[in-house]
Amino acid sequence: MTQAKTPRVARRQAPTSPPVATRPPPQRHVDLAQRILEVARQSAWTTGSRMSEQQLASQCNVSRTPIRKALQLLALQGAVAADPDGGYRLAVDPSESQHHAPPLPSSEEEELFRAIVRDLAARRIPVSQTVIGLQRRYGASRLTVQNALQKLMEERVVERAAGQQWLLKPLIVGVEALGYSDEFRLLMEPAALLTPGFKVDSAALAALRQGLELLGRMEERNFDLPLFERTSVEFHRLIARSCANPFIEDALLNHQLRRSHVTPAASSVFRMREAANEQLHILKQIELDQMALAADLLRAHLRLSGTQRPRMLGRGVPQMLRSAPG
Amino acid sequence: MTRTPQLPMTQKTIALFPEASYGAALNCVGIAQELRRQGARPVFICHPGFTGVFSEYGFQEHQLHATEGATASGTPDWTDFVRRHSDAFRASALDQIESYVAPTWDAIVDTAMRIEEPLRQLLARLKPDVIVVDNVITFPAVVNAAVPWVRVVSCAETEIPDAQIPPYLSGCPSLDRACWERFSERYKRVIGPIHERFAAFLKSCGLGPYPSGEFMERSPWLNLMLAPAILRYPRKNGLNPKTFVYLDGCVRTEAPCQLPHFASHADKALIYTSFGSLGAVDTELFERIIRVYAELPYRFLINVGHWRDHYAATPDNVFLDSWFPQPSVVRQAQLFVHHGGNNSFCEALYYGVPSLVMPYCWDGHDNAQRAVETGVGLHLPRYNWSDAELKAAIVALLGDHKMQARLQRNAVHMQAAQGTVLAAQSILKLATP
Repeated sequence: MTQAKTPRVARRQAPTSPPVATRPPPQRHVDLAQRILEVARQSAWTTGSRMSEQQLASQCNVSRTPIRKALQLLALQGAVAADPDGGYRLAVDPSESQHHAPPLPSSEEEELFRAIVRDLAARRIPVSQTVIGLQRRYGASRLTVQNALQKLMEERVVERAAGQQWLLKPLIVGVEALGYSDEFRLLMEPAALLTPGFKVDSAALAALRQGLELLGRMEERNFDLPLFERTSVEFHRLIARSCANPFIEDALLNHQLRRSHVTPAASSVFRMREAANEQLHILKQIELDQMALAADLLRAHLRLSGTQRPRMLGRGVPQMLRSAPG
Repeated sequence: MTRTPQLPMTQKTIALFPEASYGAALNCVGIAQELRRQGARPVFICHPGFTGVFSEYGFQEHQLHATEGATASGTPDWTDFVRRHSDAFRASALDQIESYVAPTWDAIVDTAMRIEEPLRQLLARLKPDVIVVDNVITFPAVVNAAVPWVRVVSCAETEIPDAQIPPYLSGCPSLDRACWERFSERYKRVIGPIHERFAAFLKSCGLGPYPSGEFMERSPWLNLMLAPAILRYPRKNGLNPKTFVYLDGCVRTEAPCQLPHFASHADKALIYTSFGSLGAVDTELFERIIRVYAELPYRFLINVGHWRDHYAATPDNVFLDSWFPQPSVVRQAQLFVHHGGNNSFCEALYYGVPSLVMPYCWDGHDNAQRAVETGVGLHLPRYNWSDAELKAAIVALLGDHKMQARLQRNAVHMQAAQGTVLAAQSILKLATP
């Protein structure tokens, strides 16, 4: 058996297994990890390319220490792999569609943002909050809470109120609110399609079409629910972003934000596949510049998607008790 | 934009007509999904209030509109309904005969009479090869349609009477004959006039009469009994296996359910609570239950129907919603707290989950009693319980590993029995070649 040669100079050992995350990373590390992937894309690096800390530090204009932290994050997600000779190599093709790219871990701020939104949607917290109150509930630092509130402000979920108060805005939760939301979409989205100057980003449309086609090919038992949710959100955002009227765009994006943070109402796989197909047909008409037809198809799609479940039923009480004792 | 595939000339049309309840409707969806897989063309006859429920699963819907006497199309006054029935739901099965069962039968008979003509016309248009009815009352238009028809018995097994089975809707124990007699005597006396009214209607359609207390006849072709073996009663007069097929579960295919995030106890046992859509009306009861749940170290999903906005503050270990894809949720739960609706009860068994039954009407009483007798769950009155009793029942069921192991073994058997496949095969045998 041949003995492996011992290197004369000890290299810094790369981790042999992905580091175990004990708590979410700070936002700056997540942002840097995303920046590294962007650098890899722009530099046309491919799977197996060596990730030079020095080069990355130079290109990202930071020191090597944060680069190392960001690479550890990417290793945790499988985007880079430890190199036996030390350091890391790319484990994915950065030019691939984002639908297939491994997601980066959430930051502390992102985790807190989501927790607040979830608790707001589930009615676990009151709409009026303070930084200290949020610190206590979530065991987070003041800085993390402030950053999360900043993100909530950007997403228009919270606004400053008098004194130290922050006011969380109601989300689209519950059958009644969803009904109003459906009505809003029915009024606004076809109108957005018909605005003069409606212009869709062809790259975004192609990526969305790729996801929808993938859904259309899936068997019921293997249906990818998270992909359906992502493509559905992206479909409505694409319509909003493509609208030339800034006020309609703003209203639609604002509405979408309130809706997208909430667990979608359950539907059958059959209906979800139909919805994906309907969205594909709409995109096709948009590509053909048949906007009136696209708007008509969108109306039909929204009506089919917004079907309400029966309000009240029970064995043998259909007409609701016209003969019930008074 | 729903695609309509080109149908082969030999494709059989099966008209499914479930009653206006989720249990029956979704039970039929499970059968229809399998009929479609086996090459048939299932279509649904539905009450106007159910529009969209079946098309969401990809089935054609045909609405049935009553000819006369229908209620106004406005939203019913549920507050008034609760006020009028809150006392009835607190009463025993025996006392509900006057306060709930009789008015309900009255309403059902009215419905059957009002939809007779539109149903007859619809069936003449549809020309189905087989009609499948999941209801508790005969529709003469179905019986007289000159095609095979199937009765789905999706209530408790007590719906098909036998000398060794407690009376339907009584909730009586299997061995308490005095309870049987008390209930039967009062039931026949109170229901008698309604039964006579229905018998006159049947006669006008060339049918009947039926035995005292019965409102639906057995199909001479096929009767599908949603009665898992673990619950079945021994019968004095066994059912004819040529026309009676037992189904060990009839669970539809539903979208996979991603469980919501809980702000606490995220790794603890999951308990799902649903009292059906009618049972969710009593928000005060749910508020009381939620207060108890908040003190328990488990996760709770609660189906609160359309009253979700009523609940202002939700505990960290509780998640409320107006709808859950029930089969998918039950599969992931360790305990199912329900009202004894037969569909819910069977889904719990199908996935090997113990039941805590808190009944308030109809066959819920029978299923609550049967859950205890067969050792697949516990029975707690809907209202008459203390916080300690509710907690104790939950803790006991979660800690009963012997029951859980037995239920898991039974679930393997039920799932292997493929109730929806058996139902679809049995129905298709009736379709003329």
